[in-house]
Amino acid sequence: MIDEYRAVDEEIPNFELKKLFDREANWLAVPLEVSLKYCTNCKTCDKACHIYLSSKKEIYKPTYRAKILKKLKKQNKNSNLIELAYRCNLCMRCKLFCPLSLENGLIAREIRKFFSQEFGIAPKALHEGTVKQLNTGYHTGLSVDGFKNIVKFMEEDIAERFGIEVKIPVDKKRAEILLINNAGDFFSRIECIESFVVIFEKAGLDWTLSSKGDAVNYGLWYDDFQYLRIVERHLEIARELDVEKIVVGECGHAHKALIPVESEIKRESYLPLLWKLVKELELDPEKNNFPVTLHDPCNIVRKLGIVEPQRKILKKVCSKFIEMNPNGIYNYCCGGGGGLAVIDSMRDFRIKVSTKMKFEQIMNALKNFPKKYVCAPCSNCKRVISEISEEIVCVGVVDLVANALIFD
Amino acid sequence: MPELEVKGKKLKLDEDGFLQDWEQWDEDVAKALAADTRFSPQPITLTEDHWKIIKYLRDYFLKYGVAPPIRMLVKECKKLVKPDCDLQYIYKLFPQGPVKDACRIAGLPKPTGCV
Repeated sequence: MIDEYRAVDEEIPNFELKKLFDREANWLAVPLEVSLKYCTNCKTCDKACHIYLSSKKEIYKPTYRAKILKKLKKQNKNSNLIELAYRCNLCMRCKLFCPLSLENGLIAREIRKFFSQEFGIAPKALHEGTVKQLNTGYHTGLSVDGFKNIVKFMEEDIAERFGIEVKIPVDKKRAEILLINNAGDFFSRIECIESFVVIFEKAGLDWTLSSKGDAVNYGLWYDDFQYLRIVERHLEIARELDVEKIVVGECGHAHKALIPVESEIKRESYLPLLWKLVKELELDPEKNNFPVTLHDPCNIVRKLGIVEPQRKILKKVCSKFIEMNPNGIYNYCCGGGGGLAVIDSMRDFRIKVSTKMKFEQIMNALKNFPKKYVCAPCSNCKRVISEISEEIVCVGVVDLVANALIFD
Repeated sequence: MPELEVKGKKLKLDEDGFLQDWEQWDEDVAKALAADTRFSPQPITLTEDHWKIIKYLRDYFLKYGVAPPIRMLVKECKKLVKPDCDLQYIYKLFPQGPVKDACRIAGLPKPTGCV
């Protein structure tokens, strides 16, 4: 045992890592090999990793994981390798700081993939979520009937909250925009979906929701085959509705996971679209007259480079926007990235280790204010950041925009 | 995996105390789940208000296969329990909240994923 936490509860068999480095068998064998081979062990990435910085534990260093993997290429036995791969948020801050831009985070991801594809070993939450999504369309197991019932509820709720009557478009064919969200929001954060509805309707967009599935793709974190199965599922939904493009809502990893659909259909983040709408809509920033700071989800900001739209939006809809430091592509992960947010057995690791840097950042940015409002445009980040402290209130970018809207 | 004994029968639970087979649930099982301190800091004595929420969760689950959204639950509780019922009051009844306590005692499978 490397530490007191466990991400997987299965017995680890003996294994040979050959396949992982075989260019025929693994399409990511080259970057993986490059990352291992050219690493000069300068340890710059250790100092970039929030998990190491907050724990100072040797085994959490990105370079430690690489060292073990290098060793195992020759030795072939170690039952801790997979656990080490789940002590990483796949946030890729290490890559940003690496003088050679090597992908240390990829090493963790490839180890996870190896165990899932070769032995079917993966954290239960990730695998079960994927299976449910492939069966019902939703990783939470939501049914089409359940989805439609929630839509009806949202229409009533919006009438009450905003005083407007809306008919939420569901499965509308040939709409310009198909908005896909994280199914978790249909359970814990339904206000977020309502905010999208209110803004899109107010702006008069030609858009639709789909009853057939959500935006999540846990495969991104642990298994290429599951990943591509879900990509195909997303494509099927878009094909069936014959929409012009897919817009991803407040879910960080879905932003990244949707990249392959681009070969067939346009996809974009909701953030640039929202910025375009915010410029045209009538808004009152005084409606959000509380101090609020912004968290940058790794997938949206560091991996996809969407940095400015959310800032421009917040400056326009909030009267007291405060940046935390570091921010933008230099942000620290919330501590739940790479699937750690949904693995229940890793809760203590999140609380004691991986969320610590984020907590400090939030407290520093908002130290003079009793309530800490954090805008986190990702479902996972919201969940993890709210878990850190009761003082923290998490909202999305869409929630702040919807709240600032002026209705006649 | 932990077990729960109700009237001589041993029921399987998951690591967080959720019933593994939702069909095994009945009111006696609910009482036993509420009294179990392995998964909740103190035993919960089920009052009329608790039962209203448990029955609503149960009915919703049987119809739609999942737990209702939190916001929907709170709104429904205003009708079922009392007009000024809010999330805080639900937490008063179920100290660990709608998922960890209410859904668990109602015998629903644990809501999983990005919830």
